Amino acid sequence: MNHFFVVILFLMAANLYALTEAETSAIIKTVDDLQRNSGDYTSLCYIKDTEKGKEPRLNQALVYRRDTDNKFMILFTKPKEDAGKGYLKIDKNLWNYEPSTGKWDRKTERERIGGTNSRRGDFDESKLSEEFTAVYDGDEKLGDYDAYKFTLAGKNGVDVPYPVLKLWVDKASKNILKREEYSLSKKLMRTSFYPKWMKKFSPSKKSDVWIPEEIRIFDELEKGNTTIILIKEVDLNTLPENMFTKAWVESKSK
Amino acid sequence: MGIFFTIGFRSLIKHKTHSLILGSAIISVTILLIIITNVTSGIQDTMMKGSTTLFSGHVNITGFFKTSTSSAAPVITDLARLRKLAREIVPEATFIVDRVNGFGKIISDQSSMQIPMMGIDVEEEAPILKDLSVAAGNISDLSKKNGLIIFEAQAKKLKVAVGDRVTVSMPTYRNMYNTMDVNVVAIVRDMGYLSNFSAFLNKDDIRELYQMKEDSSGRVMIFLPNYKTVAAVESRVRSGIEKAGFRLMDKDPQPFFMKFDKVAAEGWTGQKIDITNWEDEVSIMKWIITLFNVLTGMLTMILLTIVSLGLMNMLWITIKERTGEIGTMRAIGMQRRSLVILFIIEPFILSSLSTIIGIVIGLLISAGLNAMHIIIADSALRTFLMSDTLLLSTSFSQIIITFIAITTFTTVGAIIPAWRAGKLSPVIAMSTID
Repeated sequence: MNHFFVVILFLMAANLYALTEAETSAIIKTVDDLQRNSGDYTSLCYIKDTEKGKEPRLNQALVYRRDTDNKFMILFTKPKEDAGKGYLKIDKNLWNYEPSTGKWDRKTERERIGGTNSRRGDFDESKLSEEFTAVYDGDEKLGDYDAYKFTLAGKNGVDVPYPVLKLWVDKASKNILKREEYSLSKKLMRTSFYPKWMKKFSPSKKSDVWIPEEIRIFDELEKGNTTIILIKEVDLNTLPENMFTKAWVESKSK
Repeated sequence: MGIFFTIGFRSLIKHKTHSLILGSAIISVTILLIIITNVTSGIQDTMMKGSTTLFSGHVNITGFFKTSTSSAAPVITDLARLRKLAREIVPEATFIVDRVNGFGKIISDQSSMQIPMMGIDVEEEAPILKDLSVAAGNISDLSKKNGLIIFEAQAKKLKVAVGDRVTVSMPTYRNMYNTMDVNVVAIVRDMGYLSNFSAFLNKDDIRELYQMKEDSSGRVMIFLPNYKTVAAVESRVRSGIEKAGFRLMDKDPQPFFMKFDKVAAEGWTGQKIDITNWEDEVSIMKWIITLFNVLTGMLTMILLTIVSLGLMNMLWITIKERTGEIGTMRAIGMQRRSLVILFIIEPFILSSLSTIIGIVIGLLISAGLNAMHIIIADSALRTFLMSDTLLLSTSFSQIIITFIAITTFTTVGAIIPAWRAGKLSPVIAMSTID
């Protein structure tokens, strides 16, 4: 009988510490807000892609964003054979430019950026609270970090490549530590770790913006395939007005 | 005229050395041409068999559905009505089935591959699938859910055997990843190059992966008793479907996966039906047939020119040798015209007989090569011939064309020497007689 009361007390205590729906939404919104820049963004990215049984590939790319207008652009600069290739997102359409043919192709949110296991969303502004509904799963210890664990399900009518996410958010900083992405049938597809975050002052936001310095992505379907993204030289100053156009990408690809 | 043939035939026997040399040359050329044309026909037959087993009916009712102006899904809705219409428009059809188009990744423990997959109903498609040669497992096990049929080359790449579990990953039409774990229920023998682009899943599984409704599919496939009626049936289906109130896409003889960009760029939404035939679905491979036809044509011209020159040369020699004979014939009253005809009939008999012998030998060699089931080890050649074994197929019309081409070419080559023979003066011709 005593054990029964202990269990009841434990459950009550656990429930006491469980996050409410509103608190969960607030934390997810905080995760977004910490990363939200509300202005222009430039960074230099190194993307190392390793496929099982193959030599690793290293790409260098410049990422440009204008978050207020939902514009996004990646321009590959290295290696030589990939230099000039680019992605441009205008409104809801993601376009890929191939300089060897001079052709633009429309791509989906599932597009593997530069053939790696990274997606457009890995480089773009966080929109978790807009795209997903979160449920608090409990607290977990992730290494030295105390983390909230959430399950996020894609909202109706919103097109996201992975409709279910599991998220581990650092209790102290409210930054993401780990992210698992699941298919519609709930199969684990990718696991990403965010070991390093940097803080940068944003003139447009007039406060600090948190940016992941490193993202380690593990392919859970094809075990052994990994992608590491290093984000360097972040600049949050205003970019020229006419940059986010196909003509601009083409001019840089010559 | 019969007398000319008798004289011509006797003359050929009399000058048997010349006749044998030239006849052998014509026979060799004919054998070569027959084998080449049989290889071309073999490729064409393999292509049709592969196309109609793996991807397509003889005529297809397919199309695209666009939820927004920039999207394009190879899906047709109102399936029951379309199938009913197909049966009404083509009552002579042997089978009418529907398949769901899929494209995704098959992932095993060892490897993965991106491949088009077709959702099928094995019970309904039993007569079509009989052309698949099972290497391991049982095709009918695909009637249960969570099964997969792959080809030997794919099994080798994925390093899987029957009973192994693999994951199929496909994006839904809303661009979400979806996956399903399936078991390999059968491994079938490769059907040349085309089978690299095909695998089969249970129709319901693909519908589940794509989140499609029961009344949606990828294509209604119409199989005909005689594939030579494809063009007429296609036109009948086109007008019948249009009359039934469906919007039609303009004819574009390309496989559906080549039309995505074009359709996505068009401004319409909803459904448009596309009527295609088996050749459209493998049109990207038609260059092989074209290349073979061009090569055959070029080779034919070169060989026939050489043979004709040889024939002309032989006739020149013959005329020189037979000047006395010509003089005698002219002296006993043979007209110039008759002499020309005689000298044309001779090579005609020679080339006709040689071509017939060449065709018979060529056909026997082709049958022998087919019976030997020669396995093509070289992968590039396999790609080119679209088959894992050397397959030669005989086309009656091609035989007739070969016969007419060779006999005409060689006979025409005899006109100038014959005309020169006819011009010889009887006195001069007689004077050469010792």
